[in-house]
Amino acid sequence: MVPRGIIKHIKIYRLFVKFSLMVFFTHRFDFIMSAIANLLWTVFQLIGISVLFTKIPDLKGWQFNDLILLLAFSQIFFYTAYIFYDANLDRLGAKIREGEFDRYLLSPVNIKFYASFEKLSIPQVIATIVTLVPLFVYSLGLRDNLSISKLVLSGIVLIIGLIVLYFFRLTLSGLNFFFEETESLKFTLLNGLGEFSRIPLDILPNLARLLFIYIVPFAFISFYPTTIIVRDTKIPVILLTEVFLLMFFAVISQLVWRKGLQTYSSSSS
Amino acid sequence: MKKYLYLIKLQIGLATVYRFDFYWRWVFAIVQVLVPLSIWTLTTKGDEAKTIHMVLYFVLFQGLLGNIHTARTSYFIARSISRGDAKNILLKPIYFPVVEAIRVISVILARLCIPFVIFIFLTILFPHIFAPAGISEFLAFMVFVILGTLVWNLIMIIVGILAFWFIEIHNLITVVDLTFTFLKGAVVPFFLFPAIVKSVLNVTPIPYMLAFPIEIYSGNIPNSQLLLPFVVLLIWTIFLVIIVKVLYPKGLQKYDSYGA
Repeated sequence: MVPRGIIKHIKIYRLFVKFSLMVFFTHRFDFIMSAIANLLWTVFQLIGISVLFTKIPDLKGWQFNDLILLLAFSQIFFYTAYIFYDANLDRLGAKIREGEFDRYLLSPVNIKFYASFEKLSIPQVIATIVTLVPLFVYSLGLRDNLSISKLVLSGIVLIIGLIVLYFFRLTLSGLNFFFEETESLKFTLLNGLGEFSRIPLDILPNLARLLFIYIVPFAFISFYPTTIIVRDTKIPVILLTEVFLLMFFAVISQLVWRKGLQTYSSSSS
Repeated sequence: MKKYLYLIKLQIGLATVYRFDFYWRWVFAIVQVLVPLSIWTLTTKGDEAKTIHMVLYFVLFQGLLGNIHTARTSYFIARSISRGDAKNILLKPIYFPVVEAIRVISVILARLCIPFVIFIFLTILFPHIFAPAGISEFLAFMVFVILGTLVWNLIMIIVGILAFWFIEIHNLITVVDLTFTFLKGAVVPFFLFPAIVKSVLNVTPIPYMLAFPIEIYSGNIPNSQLLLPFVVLLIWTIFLVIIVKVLYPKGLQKYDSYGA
């Protein structure tokens, strides 16, 4: 028996999707450009990796198609974040400052759910498929030691990692209740440090590795899902750490938002 | 001119309203440098001169100059046009594209103060890496940076003006920005491009906006070889100004605004 609250939010989410589809069909040119932008970005990254491998034989044991796989996994996070919640949470600070946030408080919907998932980026869905499928086909197609269990475990680690980073993102967004503008903090921690998700953690100093495992956990959306496939990895340790981080960031985001909403004062009349 | 200077002053003031955001941004500049450096310095292992060259390239490109070359001018112009906000500026005795460009550049220059101070410290601490090759090289570097920034903003104004015809061009701007950013040498350092690609790009303003000034700064381009690139960049500047002067009035003729 599914709790009524969850059913209600599923129905509300269907409405969000319907509305987002209506917006999508009015901006078809923009959708084509979005797909081209994604493709171009991926092509440029592939060119970068190709040029790199003309200068060095390997990247501390990482081969060319290992880096392609790492790139593909890291892009799953950025694309899914943008499709589902990134654009919505980016606007949260402005909504709080301009008084638009009040309508979230007045609606009988979970505030974090509403603020995160109000609009879906439909063009990005298609662009994601067009970009990621070739990357995965190429990087996985030529592997001899690929097994279903490795793929499944890699997928589980990735999905939990995506949820961990969502709660991390939610925590950062909650800081908008305390600091009027936190755009640069989000850019630095997610967009800036997120660039490291395309780099094998092995080549970074130990301190940097600890940062990307425990503080800004990008390791779980790209590095670990990739290492599960390309080499032997201690999967139970990874999963346990992930579950711990999931609970930790879920609690932290809840505390930040609760405190933020208690201190929130509307700026509208 | 006074009104534009006043606008610059206003925008810089606005940039410092949110102090947390303003002071935190320099951390982003550092991260932007570290990411490509951590990969590309692996290609220069054992060669100190090449490593220094690579470090200086990315510190100047990603840490400082690359931030000035932003696509926000285009986004702001396109957004003002598509939302109908442009009418507020069009009614005033100021040039709409220049206003939007000033709004972007002033804020970026204000935000670059801290990374710039950090760069000065690095130059004092590690002059063999970060100091310019000489005074004449530094002056030539500044000339190309200023001209290159002007060319970049003219390109962004032209792309932004397309919103008069296409309305929603957010992702078109992204495509243009991505392409130029790659060709300027953000993903792969420009000096690693194949010779044939470099020769094709040398007739465009692209290499002279960022990569070429950095090579001047490093002392890799003798002063005798500066005239031709300067002339190329100047011709492109004049050409792009003419394009803006022709395209902008045509766009205004198409423009419909709503509201009171």
